[in-house]
Amino acid sequence: MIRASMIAATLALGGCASLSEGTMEPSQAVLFTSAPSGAYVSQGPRTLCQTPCQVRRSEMRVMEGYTFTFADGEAVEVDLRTEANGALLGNILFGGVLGGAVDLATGRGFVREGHVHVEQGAE
Amino acid sequence: MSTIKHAALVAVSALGLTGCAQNLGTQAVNDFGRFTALEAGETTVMDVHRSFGQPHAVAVIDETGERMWSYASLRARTNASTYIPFVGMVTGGSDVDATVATFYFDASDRYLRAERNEQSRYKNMWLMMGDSMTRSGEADRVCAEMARLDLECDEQAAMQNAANIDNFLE
Repeated sequence: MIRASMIAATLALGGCASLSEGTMEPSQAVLFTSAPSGAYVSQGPRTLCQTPCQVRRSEMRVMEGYTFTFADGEAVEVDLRTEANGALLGNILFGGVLGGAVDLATGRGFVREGHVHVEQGAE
Repeated sequence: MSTIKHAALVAVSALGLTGCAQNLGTQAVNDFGRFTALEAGETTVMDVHRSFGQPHAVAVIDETGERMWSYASLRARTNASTYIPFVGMVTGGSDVDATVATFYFDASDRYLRAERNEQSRYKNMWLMMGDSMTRSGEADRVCAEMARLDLECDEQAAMQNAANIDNFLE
């Protein structure tokens, strides 16, 4: 009985792994994209990468948002604290990206599991 | 591609776990000379194909039209705990050293940049079985990309690489 439960649990965990189609290690890394491309993604003072890019979760701080800085110096904030709820905790534990909101004053975009996308310029 | 073929490939990969070590994927990602020949804005997706071969994974970023091609080099060894009676039933698995190279292309198939990551990880055999049962469709995406570029798709290689990704990287 215990063995069956463990097998079921591990199989269920395996099902959670595939978050972003076509990327290797979808549960291990976050994909950052922007329009236009070439924005620098940072967490606090630390630059993570230049879009499009992937960053391993182990190289990022979990509860901190991102700043996308475009070529003309415009910065768009992605705030991860807006959806701090139970579902979010599940994402943290099982390898998803945090839910969050893009600063609507300066840009558009979305935060999905395994993918953060930001577009320059507000509507 | 048939599910039976995919299942057979997964089974072959799983059987490999019983050996001491196996090298999978491509060694091209360990050849730095190939990376230094790439030039942003000049190199095309076809040049990368000529240099590195058929990709192991393909992703399209819908919002920007950019594409990602990934390649992996894997070295998998049976974890020592696998051989411990009873304990191995639960904790058995593989120690995997992986090098993953990802190439980014803009919407007009021009090379933007490459990322190369090395990592070591342990993959439990039960998780591996679970991942093997959830087909990712990676081989189909790779062959669709080859068709888009009028290139011949090596279906068997695509399926083997997809099985390796399912088993060891996801």
